[in-house]
Amino acid sequence: MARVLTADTVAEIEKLFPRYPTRLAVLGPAIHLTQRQLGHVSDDAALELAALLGTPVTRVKEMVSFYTMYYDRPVGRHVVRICRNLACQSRGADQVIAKAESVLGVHCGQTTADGRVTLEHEECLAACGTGPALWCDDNLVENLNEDKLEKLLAGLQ
Amino acid sequence: MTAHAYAPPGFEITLSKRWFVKDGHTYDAYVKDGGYGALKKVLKLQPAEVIDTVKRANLRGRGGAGFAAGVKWGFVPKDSEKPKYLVVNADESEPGTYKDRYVLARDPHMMLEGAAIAAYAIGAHQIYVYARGEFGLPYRRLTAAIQEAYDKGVFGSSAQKSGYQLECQPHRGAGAYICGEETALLESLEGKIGRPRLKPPFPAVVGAFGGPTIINNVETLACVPLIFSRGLEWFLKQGSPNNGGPKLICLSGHVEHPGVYEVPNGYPCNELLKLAGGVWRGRKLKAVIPGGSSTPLLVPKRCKALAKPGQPEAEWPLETDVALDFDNLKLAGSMFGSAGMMVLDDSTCMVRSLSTLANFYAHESCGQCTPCREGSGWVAKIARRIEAGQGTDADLGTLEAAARHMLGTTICPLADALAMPVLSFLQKFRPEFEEHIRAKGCRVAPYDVHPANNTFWEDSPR
Repeated sequence: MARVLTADTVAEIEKLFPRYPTRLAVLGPAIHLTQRQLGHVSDDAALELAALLGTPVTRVKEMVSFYTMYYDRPVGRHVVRICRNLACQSRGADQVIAKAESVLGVHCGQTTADGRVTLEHEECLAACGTGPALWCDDNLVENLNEDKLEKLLAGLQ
Repeated sequence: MTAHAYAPPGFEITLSKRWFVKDGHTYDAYVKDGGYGALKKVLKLQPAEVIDTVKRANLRGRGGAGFAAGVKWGFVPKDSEKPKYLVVNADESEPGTYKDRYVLARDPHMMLEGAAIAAYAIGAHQIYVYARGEFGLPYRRLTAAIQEAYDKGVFGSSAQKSGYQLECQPHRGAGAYICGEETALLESLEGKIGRPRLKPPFPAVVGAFGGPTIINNVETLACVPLIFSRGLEWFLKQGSPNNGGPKLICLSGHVEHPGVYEVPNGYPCNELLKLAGGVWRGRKLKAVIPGGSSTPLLVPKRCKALAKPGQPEAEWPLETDVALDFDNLKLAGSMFGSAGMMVLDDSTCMVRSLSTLANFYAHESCGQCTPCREGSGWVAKIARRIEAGQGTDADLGTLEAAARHMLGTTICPLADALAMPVLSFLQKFRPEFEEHIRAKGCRVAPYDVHPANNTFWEDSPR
């Protein structure tokens, strides 16, 4: 097993141990920290996390496959998640999603060939009063229309 | 303050007060308004007194179930060998619901004070705040507020110099609607996939890490300081019988002014719609989903259950006139849920709406119980094909049967949360479904892009 986590990432994970009564409880936050460093949880990272937390690697893999924000393969430098649920739909989200797909040349669930953007559907971002809405780089972009979306996508490098 | 008012005229807002104030999310802003005074008071009371006061306040859970918070706290065994926990459910994910987001981003200290009071009342020394993964600004503000509270001595080895130890840790989810269900949330907090647990035992007895645990919604806890700072009488006066306190209601969809409105519990639905500027673009109301996507539809039709005895039919209130509290919405055949109110105008295609909802539940089913895993997939597939013009005459019967097999047959209520809208849509809008099957398609074009441009409610400008 090749070590992939930096000393900083490991230290940040270990800092969380006293905050919980079990090591396993740190797994979720540890995956977030791993992704902050690597973008996704590679096989090597999963093995390293498992050893660090004293849990079978299957538990790490299971977590990564269950939660939509964890990735088991590389994703784009930016992940754009556009809400398609009812409130956003009622304000035109279907058209916004179609626009994003045509501008980026990918379908939801895919990454642009240059590795710039991964586009995803999102199931309600709790931004129903300001829809259509999307979430990108840990921030909401709200009250979307086609122009605003196009500008945003153009600005992602 | 914005030009549009998000409360009834003359109603004093208390839950959302600091949302309209610059830097209202800081410790200083909260303390300037008397914040953390309730906790000081409470730490001098016996825990049993605190629980009793909250019971008498008729504070009902704002996360969806409407269970009395004080009663829930009372279920925690007084003697427990295992540590007890207070867990804040900040996993706000029910479509249509977006109030807790502002509590966290614009006034996190009020919720933290409520959590501290709840922890003291049940004898817990550790608080976990489980926030949904997609919360960006709300999570950053929450984390900063917890740090501030430590720095100011609210949390730590001696909360407010009382000698009572109180620790608080934010915990970030990773994108799973099911983790809003309290036992799935506990599994997730423990580092596992979010699969709901069988009950009993209830979390109050065996919860997080095997210890007695109370899980309360963000808004529920934000209400708690008011009970002690303003007093029981004031709190009861803000609501309707059996439903104490003010209420945050999230309006979205086809109203002129979407936003989170603070109203007294029991405020009439039709008045609230007027406050929000009414149905947008001069259109007519088709339906209201009153409490988040899983709650049955209300339509502007006369409702016998809401009528006074002997009232002539022509004078019966409409379903959409209902007083907004847990009891009255139940009477009207729906639920208050998480108060995520979605308004649909008369141009809306109800088949498309159901298809969207079914798709969501099928995506979010954890897969543990067969009726939910398979049923949600069936319902989504059938609704999608009816909308796409490939429906058959047998489809409506299959939809209904699938929904009925999902009711009450699973570990958690996610299956019911889809079955209820399916049955409600079919009951109230069956002809639209039949029309789609007959015409082999939908006559409604994709909806125009039409944001409300209500920048006040956006994360970014603040």
